[in-house]
Amino acid sequence: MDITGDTVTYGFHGVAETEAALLGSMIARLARRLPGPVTQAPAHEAQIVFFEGSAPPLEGPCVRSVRLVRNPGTQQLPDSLPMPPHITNVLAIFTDVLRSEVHAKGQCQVMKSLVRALHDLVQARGAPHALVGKDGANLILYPADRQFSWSGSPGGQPLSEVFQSHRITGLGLHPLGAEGPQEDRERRGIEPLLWHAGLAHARCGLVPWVGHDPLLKMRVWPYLTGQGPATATRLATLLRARPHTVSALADAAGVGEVEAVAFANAALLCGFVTSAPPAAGEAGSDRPMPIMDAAASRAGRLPGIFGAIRHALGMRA
Amino acid sequence: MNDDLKLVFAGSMGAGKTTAIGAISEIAPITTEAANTDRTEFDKEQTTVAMDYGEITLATGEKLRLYGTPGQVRFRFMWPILAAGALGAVILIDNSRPDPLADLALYVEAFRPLARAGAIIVGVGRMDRCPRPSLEDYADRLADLDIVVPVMPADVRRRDDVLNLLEVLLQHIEATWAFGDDGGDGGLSFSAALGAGS
Repeated sequence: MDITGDTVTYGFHGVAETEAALLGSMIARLARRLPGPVTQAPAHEAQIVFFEGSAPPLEGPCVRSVRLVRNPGTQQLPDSLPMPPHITNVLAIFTDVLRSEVHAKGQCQVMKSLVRALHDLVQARGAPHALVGKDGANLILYPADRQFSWSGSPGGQPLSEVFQSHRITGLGLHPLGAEGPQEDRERRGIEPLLWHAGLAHARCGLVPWVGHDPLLKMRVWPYLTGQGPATATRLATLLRARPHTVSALADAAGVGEVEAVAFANAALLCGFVTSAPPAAGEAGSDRPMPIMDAAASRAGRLPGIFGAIRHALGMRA
Repeated sequence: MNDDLKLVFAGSMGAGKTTAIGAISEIAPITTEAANTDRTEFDKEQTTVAMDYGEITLATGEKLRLYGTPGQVRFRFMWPILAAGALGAVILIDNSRPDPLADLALYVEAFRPLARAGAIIVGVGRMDRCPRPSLEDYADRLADLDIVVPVMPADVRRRDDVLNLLEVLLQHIEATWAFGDDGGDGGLSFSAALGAGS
């Protein structure tokens, strides 16, 4: 599962058929002059969405929303397209997105290599390594002890920022010299570091060693769910209840696939979750015991009960 | 049909079961406290000897009954009685006690049918003062016991923390319910699972 595809897709949301046809035809004629392939897709799947201002918000993997502007007197905003469209404006939109996609793809190659190296190192319980960034991020990993130390301090750079996209290309993993680390910094458990690496890898798809949309099974409760994503606890409770593929987990939780991928990556890297080919155990061999009294279940009371309890306690559903 | 809905708060003496019930009950908790004659287990004046009780009225008119188990091990015989037919259980562990992971094992074993059914959550208190064992240690110990249930820090003096525990417990139960059987012939009664009458 690679979220960064080769082709940039575009779609229309709430746009009149004639205008969509006009724009589509222009984009098709411009395709030869663009730095990469483009193709039309449904709006909820497209990366560039041309939308009518009054259209309801749209969820999906969109990376650029472009509002169609008809009043020539209106000041043109960066993400808008005057109608009727001009060739240079359309070219600029696609060129910009294609270039950013190429950049993101390059970053993903670096991220994938880095996360794989981290994973292999921790699995092998190898020698101490330094994770060094060009801006000074400096972590010493002790894979044999599943620990790390860091120059970051409370109140300083949060751990979640280590793997931000603007740092990735400069991050490198290097073995320490034979003399080993000479430092007195506090060591911490390595799981939070792996968790954040997994979250950051979500923009590049699933971690590379698990194959395509594997079946995930929980081994240990992922106690780091408080560090994100926001729906991590819900995803964890669903995965605890039964093994899921990432796409099925996203569907069951009603969240976007990127969020489920982020949770899966983090949990896989930390070893909270194991993976297997989708065919293995799909039938629910580890199906949990149902919890309710048979009578209550037959009456279908539980969903109403959950809602009533939440309401009484002032919780949001 | 028995309309009682029940949540159980279990855990070691002094872990905060009475406080947690008091944080969410709409009535003043009814407690059965007596002078603590076991200062070696926990040094406090009074302790629960039978149970604590609180309740919440639902919009359906039903009561959600909140039971706190006595923490002392010699009252262990009461735990399955109180747990029989429960919707779920909150196990509270005091991280300042001498061996919190042993406490965890004791209570998880006692409530194993609920745990296997995906209906318990573990809240760990006093982690600010006593950070060890860590949540990782708890999660690993649970895995060693072949139990995977949510474990999270909680200061039960704060109502929000108690609500957070309950929210995750409800999500946990819902998820298990959603993927379990519909309770037909294969359905499991908690009362039967716990081997005690209600």
